[in-house]
Amino acid sequence: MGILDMHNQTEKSAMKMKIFATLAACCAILGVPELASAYSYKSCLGHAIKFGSSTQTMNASTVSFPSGYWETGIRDTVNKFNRNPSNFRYTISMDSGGVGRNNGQNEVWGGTGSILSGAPAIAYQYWTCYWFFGDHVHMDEVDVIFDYGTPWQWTADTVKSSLIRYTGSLRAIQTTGAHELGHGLILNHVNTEYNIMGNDFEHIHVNGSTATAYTGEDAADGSIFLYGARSPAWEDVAVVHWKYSGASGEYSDHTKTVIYNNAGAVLPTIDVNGETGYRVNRGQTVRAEFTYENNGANTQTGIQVGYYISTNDLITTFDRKIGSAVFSLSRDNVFTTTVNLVIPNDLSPNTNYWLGVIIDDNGAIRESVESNNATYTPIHVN
Amino acid sequence: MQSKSLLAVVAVAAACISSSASAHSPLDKGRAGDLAQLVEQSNLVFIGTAEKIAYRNARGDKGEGVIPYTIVTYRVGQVLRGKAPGKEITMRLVGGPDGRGRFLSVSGVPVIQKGDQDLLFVANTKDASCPLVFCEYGRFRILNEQVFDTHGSPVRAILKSTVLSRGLPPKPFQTVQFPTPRFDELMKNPEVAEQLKSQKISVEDARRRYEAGAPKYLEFTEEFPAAEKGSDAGTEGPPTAGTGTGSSGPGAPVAQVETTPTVPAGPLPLSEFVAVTKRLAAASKRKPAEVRSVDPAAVIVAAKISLTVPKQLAAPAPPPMAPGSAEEYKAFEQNGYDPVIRK
Repeated sequence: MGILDMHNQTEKSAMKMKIFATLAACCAILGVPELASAYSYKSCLGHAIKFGSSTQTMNASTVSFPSGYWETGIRDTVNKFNRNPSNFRYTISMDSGGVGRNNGQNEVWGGTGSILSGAPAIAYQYWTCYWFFGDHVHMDEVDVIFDYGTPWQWTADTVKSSLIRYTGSLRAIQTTGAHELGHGLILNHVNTEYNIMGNDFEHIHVNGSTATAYTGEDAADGSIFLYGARSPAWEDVAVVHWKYSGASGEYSDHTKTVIYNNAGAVLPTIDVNGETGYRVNRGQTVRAEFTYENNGANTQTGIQVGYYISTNDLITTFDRKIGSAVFSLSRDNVFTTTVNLVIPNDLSPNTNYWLGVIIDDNGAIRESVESNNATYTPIHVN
Repeated sequence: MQSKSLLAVVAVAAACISSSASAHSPLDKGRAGDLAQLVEQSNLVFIGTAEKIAYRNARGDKGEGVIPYTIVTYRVGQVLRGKAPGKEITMRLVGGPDGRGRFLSVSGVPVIQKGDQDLLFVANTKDASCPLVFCEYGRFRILNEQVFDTHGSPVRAILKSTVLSRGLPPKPFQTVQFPTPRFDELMKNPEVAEQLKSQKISVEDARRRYEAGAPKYLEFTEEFPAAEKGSDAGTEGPPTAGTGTGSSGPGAPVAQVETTPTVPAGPLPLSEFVAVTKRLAAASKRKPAEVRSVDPAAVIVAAKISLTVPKQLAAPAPPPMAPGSAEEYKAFEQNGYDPVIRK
């Protein structure tokens, strides 16, 4: 057996050919597309397991989330999770009493001890399923426990510079919390597309210095499937600089979107304020990659998307527009795509810029969440 | 030349496999999915069949309800590392039915059923929640002499020592069954007792009807409603790309694709998985510790989870703002963080 353990020699050869065909692009879009649509849930006796009421109170421990920074953080986590198009909502209540598993209350706290083989957080899900002159199936309780022990280091705010994958080393309570709250809806892990029920801390919206947790298209789709769409309809389109990159077990892996040259090769990279930037030339045609999502209830057509050059990492219409596109997006998939753009000739050489995108940059869609409509990729003009 | 080429391919592949931690996996997910790490941290690696399953309730801490546990006894087949305590080994995992119609599922802990054939990496049977190395990552399932991860995704390849699994589980892995509660136990569930009261029937009548009408087992299914996704949001389809202005224009929309290299369809034959595991076990310098069965009748002490105060850590200072940024940030904030700012 060689170092590459594959099925047999024939497949090994075929495999090698496929990989060589794409080797030049290294970690660019290479593999075989997986099943894209994704959310998954549990049923018993043929009935989806879900809460009897679409409003559930989540009690947060005041020991683990004391007033001020941490309480604000956990409240924000729940609020961000609630920004989805379904009828389901958590309400948060601060609980100064004891917390515990299987005590009839949904609770969230931080703990230490032998939680679970070094996992950063876990969800204890209690549900009921039995037959008693009819099927009785319902979700009863979810308890979310963060591991506050070593090696985990948490941040409860939305400051980008704190986070791993940016310039910090902390893990966001807000993204992991959104993942665990998804388990409360009995949404399972998903490994086939960019989604919060995969690798949560790489599922985040960033613009400027703010990194925001969100449920995303797939969990939005799953929550509507389980709890129905809210009224009036919750509409939300978004764009992020993350994309699906594969799977580890049943978790999707995510990586940042990139910039290609017009031949499809990833551009050379350079550090720009601690993030990966791409070296570009003035007048060069590049293919800017971003991920677009419809996190709302209804399909949106004729969405105006603008592309901008910025002198900082905050992308707004204050910046210089260099291109546009029109998309239609539906809530059935996450879409990562590229757009051809020409780097303006009058940019200063040897200077950092940020190539930005704003979805719905004419403000035509009446959205419940507008703050997730822009993001960026750093560039460095040679 | 061929081996050099393969090495180059593997180097690229390994570089493309991310290393991170998901919500329920250990710190370094690359480590958790690394067969070498699983072997290194295991004290017993074996192929076995779950022959006996029992469910018992542990008392939680003060103020907590019961914590159900699953006690599984495997008939030990081939041992790949360490020494099995005998022809059987009994282990305990948190989660399962409480016998009264309620169930506990803990994220990251596998559900094991009677008859399951598994390849297990055992760390410590004394662990209060899960005896396996990295818990869910320490179990691989076997069906028709092929290997699947703990969630039933086919293992497609082992790149260097990293296990790549992808795709939906086969049908047999999409359902689990638990015994229907015995009538007397079910009656201890307050919800059921209330129903009995409201139906105004005698206990004996209810017992007779329950024993005649209740299903023999309660079946849980992992549902993958991909085909149903088109029905809940009107017309759905891929995004349509319009015409860009100037020199820009959208590229063809692409579905989600992975950036790791193409891997075979899988699943990997068990013999190949075993061969790699044995080779890694032979290379390990750590002598595995003794592994003992748990006493299935012993009182279960649930994992203690102590309530903890958080520690706030300072964020690194952000880089200095570019000239003119303050005005933009202020306008952005005043615009409710909507990037479309009317000038």
